[in-house]
Amino acid sequence: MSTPEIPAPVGSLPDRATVVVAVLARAGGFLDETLQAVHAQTYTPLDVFVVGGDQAQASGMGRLPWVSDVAELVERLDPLATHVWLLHDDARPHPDALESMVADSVRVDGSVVGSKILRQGELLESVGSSTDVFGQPSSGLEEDEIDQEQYDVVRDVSYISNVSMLVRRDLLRGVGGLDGRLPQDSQSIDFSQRARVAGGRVVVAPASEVEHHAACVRDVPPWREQAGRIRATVVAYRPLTLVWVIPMLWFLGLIDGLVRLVLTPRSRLFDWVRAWLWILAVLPSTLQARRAAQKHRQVGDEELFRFQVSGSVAMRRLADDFSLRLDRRAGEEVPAELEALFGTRRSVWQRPSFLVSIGSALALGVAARGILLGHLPVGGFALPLRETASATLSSYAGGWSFGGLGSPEALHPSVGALSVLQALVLGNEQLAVALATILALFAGVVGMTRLMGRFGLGPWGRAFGGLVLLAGPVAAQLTGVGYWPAIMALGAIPWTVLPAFLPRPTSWRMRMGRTAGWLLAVALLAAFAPLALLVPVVVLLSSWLMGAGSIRPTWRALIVSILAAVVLLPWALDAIPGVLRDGAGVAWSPPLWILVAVGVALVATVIGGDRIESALAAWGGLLLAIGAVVSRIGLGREPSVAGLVMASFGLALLVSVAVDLPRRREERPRLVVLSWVACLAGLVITASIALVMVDGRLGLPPDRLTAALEFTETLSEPHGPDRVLLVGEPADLPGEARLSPSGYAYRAVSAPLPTFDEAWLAPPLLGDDELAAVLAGIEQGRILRPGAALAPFGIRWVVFMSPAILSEGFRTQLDMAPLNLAEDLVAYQNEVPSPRAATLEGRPWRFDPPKYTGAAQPEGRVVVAENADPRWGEDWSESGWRNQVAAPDGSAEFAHDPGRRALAILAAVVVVASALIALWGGGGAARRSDPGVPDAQPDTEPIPEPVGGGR
Amino acid sequence: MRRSLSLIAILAVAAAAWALPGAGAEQTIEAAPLIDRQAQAVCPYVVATDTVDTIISVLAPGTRKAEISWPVVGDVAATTKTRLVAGGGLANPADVPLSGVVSAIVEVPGEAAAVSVVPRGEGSVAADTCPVSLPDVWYLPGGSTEPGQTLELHLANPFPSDAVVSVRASSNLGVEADAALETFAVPARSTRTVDLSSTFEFRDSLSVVVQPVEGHVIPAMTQFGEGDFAVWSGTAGSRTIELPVTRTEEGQHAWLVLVTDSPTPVGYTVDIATGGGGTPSVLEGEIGASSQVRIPFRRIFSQSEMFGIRVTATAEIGAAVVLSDPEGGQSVATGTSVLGSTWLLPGIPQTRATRQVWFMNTGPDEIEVMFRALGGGDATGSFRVAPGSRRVIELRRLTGRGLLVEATEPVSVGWSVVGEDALAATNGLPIDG
Repeated sequence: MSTPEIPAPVGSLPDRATVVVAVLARAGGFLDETLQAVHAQTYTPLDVFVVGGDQAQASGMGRLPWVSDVAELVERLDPLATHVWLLHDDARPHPDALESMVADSVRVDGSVVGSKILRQGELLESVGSSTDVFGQPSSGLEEDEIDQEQYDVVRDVSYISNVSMLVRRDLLRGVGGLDGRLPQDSQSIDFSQRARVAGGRVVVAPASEVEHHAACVRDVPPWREQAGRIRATVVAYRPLTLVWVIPMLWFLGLIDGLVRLVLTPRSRLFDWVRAWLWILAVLPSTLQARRAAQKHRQVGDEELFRFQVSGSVAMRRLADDFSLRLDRRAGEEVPAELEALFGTRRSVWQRPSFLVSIGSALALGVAARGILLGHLPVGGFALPLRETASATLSSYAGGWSFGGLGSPEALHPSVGALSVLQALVLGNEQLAVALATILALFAGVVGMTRLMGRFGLGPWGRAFGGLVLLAGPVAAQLTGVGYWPAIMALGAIPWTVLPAFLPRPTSWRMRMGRTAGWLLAVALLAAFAPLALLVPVVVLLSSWLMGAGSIRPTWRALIVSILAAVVLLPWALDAIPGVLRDGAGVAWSPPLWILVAVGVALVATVIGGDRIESALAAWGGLLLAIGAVVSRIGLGREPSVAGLVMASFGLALLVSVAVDLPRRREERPRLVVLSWVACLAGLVITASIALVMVDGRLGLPPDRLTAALEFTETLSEPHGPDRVLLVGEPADLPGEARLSPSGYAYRAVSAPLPTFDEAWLAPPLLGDDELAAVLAGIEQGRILRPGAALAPFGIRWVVFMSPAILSEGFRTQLDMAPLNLAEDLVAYQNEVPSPRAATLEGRPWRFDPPKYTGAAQPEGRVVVAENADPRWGEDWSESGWRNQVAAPDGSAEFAHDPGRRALAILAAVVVVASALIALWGGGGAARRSDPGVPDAQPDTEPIPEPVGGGR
Repeated sequence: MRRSLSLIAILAVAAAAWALPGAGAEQTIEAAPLIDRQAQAVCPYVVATDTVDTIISVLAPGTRKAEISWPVVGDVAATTKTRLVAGGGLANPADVPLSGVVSAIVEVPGEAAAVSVVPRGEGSVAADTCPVSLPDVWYLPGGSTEPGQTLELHLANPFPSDAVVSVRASSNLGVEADAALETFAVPARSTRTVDLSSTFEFRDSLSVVVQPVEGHVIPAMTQFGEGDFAVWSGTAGSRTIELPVTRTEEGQHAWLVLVTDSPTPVGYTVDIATGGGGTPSVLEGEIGASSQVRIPFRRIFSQSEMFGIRVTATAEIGAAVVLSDPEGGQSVATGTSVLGSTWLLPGIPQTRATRQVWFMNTGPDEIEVMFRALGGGDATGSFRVAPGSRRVIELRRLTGRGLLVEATEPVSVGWSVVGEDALAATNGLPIDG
């Protein structure tokens, strides 16, 4: 191959624009073509270098000078050179490309000038691009948009592609060239941002056109670009910006990854993990690059913000993809011609199903605004998570339960589930709570939408079903007593039923994925409402009885439920003996107008609907009735919660069908009145969520505890807050409470606020009996110094949440000082030192869950005010109901029960394996439904016909 | 058909749901085991000055120790433990040391305990049994602000909560008004003293009602004369009050003082019990609304024989017997509204003065009474008391720290000590009432 000689620079442009071409050898295979295009330029460059790639190949091409990277190039540049044209070796610039760039560069004083990048001759790849603040690129172009010179204007942009980039030599030298660790896109973003921060102007010159084969991006894994963007962000911004950008970047990536587990590409979560791991690995070099960039900083971050798009590009794409997925899953086909004309993403916003779904989500968002924007209203079982997820996980996996005066009994499975989520969000407990709530609401709405879509219901019916499921009159009963975990159970339940109504997968891989996903859904449901493990079986059995499904899925659900029961370990071992009677039950007691509306909707829909609608309504009605029976039969908390979860699902089914009934009124003109009656009744039931929306807490009780216990933080001793004894009505106290023979409820909680893992109380142990005796003594006036009596329990404060008999006894006691906090709050502070753990000499230790810490006691011993258990230390002895242990290393911690820990690990393994298999199987399904794959099959199948015939 | 069957099935299940009680499971109530009982008494007036010293006498047959706390100016200045020997023991604020007027909280493990204070000075003695309960309204009849007398109201609040009280006074002139006393605060763990002599000067008889509005106080009155002085704590109001200790010897001036807080006039009837039997309704009368009456003994029983008094009223009242002798001795003994079969009489001093124990049986049957000394004394005895009569026993043997009295039926019991120029009387404490 021969290469023409490089002529001397000619042209009419100013002499100072002396350009050296640097062909970036990346893709290989197109270098010859690229060099020919360079030599054909109307603006003759001073020199041409090959940068990177194979030196021998470069040498073979007319002995072109070769350098290993841009940094070396900068060092070897002819002093006469004023600009460097960076050009990919898979690019073919039009003959006037360089001339146009140089001209525009001089005209607008651009420091970094980019070309219009085309592919396949007429399709636009890039005409300069924007990013959001997180570095996510947004070209603003439609897919396969044809170049009609619609963007041909020289303008400032966030970044330009280094496929063809003209850079001032001094700037290139100053900012240090391209970052060799980054792939193409993020490299371009990084360089453009550094150039801008150094005071350079980044512009696109669309008159300069470059054909790009895009070979350079074919083998770049997505996580590399993601990691590159993070690095570019760290390098470019000032610390003040990084303080919020980096956490947001991390969080949005996580959200994107999590949501895309149900969308494509499903590997996004793994990309996210790999990207951040890579960032950690290259942190030193990143910080070095940052120091270099910041050394040349001329302008503030505002200059970067000026050319960025607002919001998050990734989130917008996610919403687009999700709504598209929603439509497809719900059976709403996108008109092909519309899709072809505008592209799917644009049209999806205009469809009723999307708008109705958004409306439902917004309504639930309004109903939960207090939780999402503020914090969980503390009360009932709605309690904040412990600060450290690892501590809770440790307690869950065979450790100590700190509820009340402590117990070795296993924690509720919902504690484990939420701790895992908290660990995933790096221990941010508020974020975990908000995320759990959002995901539950989201999953509930989407799940009901998909399920009802399978039965051919319209958008309004589907959306209203979701609303009623999560915030309807049955759900409100659960949240009204503060049972926050029920929201998560309600979010999961549609997904435990949906697999039974999906078409049978065509491959083993998909079948396994489907089953694993089903198991995961049932496991999630059971984690938050353990006895609801059986609800899918009952639900599907009822569907068969009412003619809305066949019997076979019931057996499959039974098998899945049995497998999913593993996740209830180790809780089930302790809880099963009393699971039917323990805890206060929650009975569904709706107002009369709801009952009437439900009755009307049921009768009108069963009579006025077609065969399927009638069967669906009957199915929902039966589930509602069975759930109501279970909740009212007088059993304990878990059965009643399971019953209400099922009842809420049944009511949601009924409302979905009832609201949808008039949609097909043309098909049955004689029953049109009945259809409207059913619809009206459904709307009345749905309207009840307005009551939940008003308070913004999803119906959870108002937060009295936070304000009531706020004082404990300021009045804490240096060793940290001790326990608080709360006294009042059972409904006033967080989680479970113990009842005194006189009828008042009480419980000891950790200050400043009890945490979610403390909500459940184990059966009374020795210390609990002792505390009950002390309280009886105070109540009867036999104990005159309650402070001294309560100090061994680590109780520093007593707070009366409502007028109670004990408060009178407290007025004439001698060693608890009243605190003037609020008119409706009676609180006392113990004047006797009351640490939860202290040395025998009385030096307090700190409660640092899951252990107690303090000054090392090489010879001494420590008394830990938890119910006595030998696992509290090797040299353990019982001190009354408490523990006395040696603490030579300054800590006392409960030794885990290895059996229970193994069971907890087994549960985790089952969940993770299910998730992986579901992803793997789902990946197979996604691949098969990809239109690009010849063997693709439709993602949805016709609605199943009920047993015994069609409509 | 299928639809009808479905509807019927669903409605049947729904009906079953609504037929259920719907209360949900109740939480199991764990019965609280009993723990040892603890007794508490608050002595609102304990004085330790250069001229007056106070002995706190504790009787608790079932235990061997008592704990005494001394709340002073918002804090517990000290806590001392007193060893009880043979059911009795003594404490003295000077041991702490404390000076001035303070209150004392006496805590005794066990169910039965009684505490009294016996302030003593040169030629003067007083006695008061410390209250063990906290009534809503305290009655303190029997004071006087006539020339030569200093009457003070002491309001002890040994509790950790601040208290707000309302003090209402009435005298021989009628209802007394003073805005400053209508509502005033008693800080936690402190004692406030109100000088009634300067507020209501020259009243022959002055009685006070104290009502805590917030928190709790234990009030006591002190009256200092030219020689002797008297101390008496507030009592709860009652419709029936017995006053076993009355005139101790001839020549004494003695009055029965009744006070009410009722907004309407209250009728009363006075019965007496003499050694020979009872005489009902020796006197009937009316106390004006929120007022007091002072009745000289001569209007009740003209003979010189000692007698006990029972007052029955149409509303709650407080009652006291006021004694004074020509030598300057004076005493105010409040009545008791609670009768019991077992009594503790702490504080009976070991002195050569005349020491008498008063028993009054207002019941219909004759009762047998036994007594024995606690705290090291050797006094014992038993006797019978006829129905409707009173009996007075003079103690000549050592009484240790006090007496334990056991009767076959409920009685009321008090004691008195009469010296050359000093006089003191108070009731015992029923421990099974």
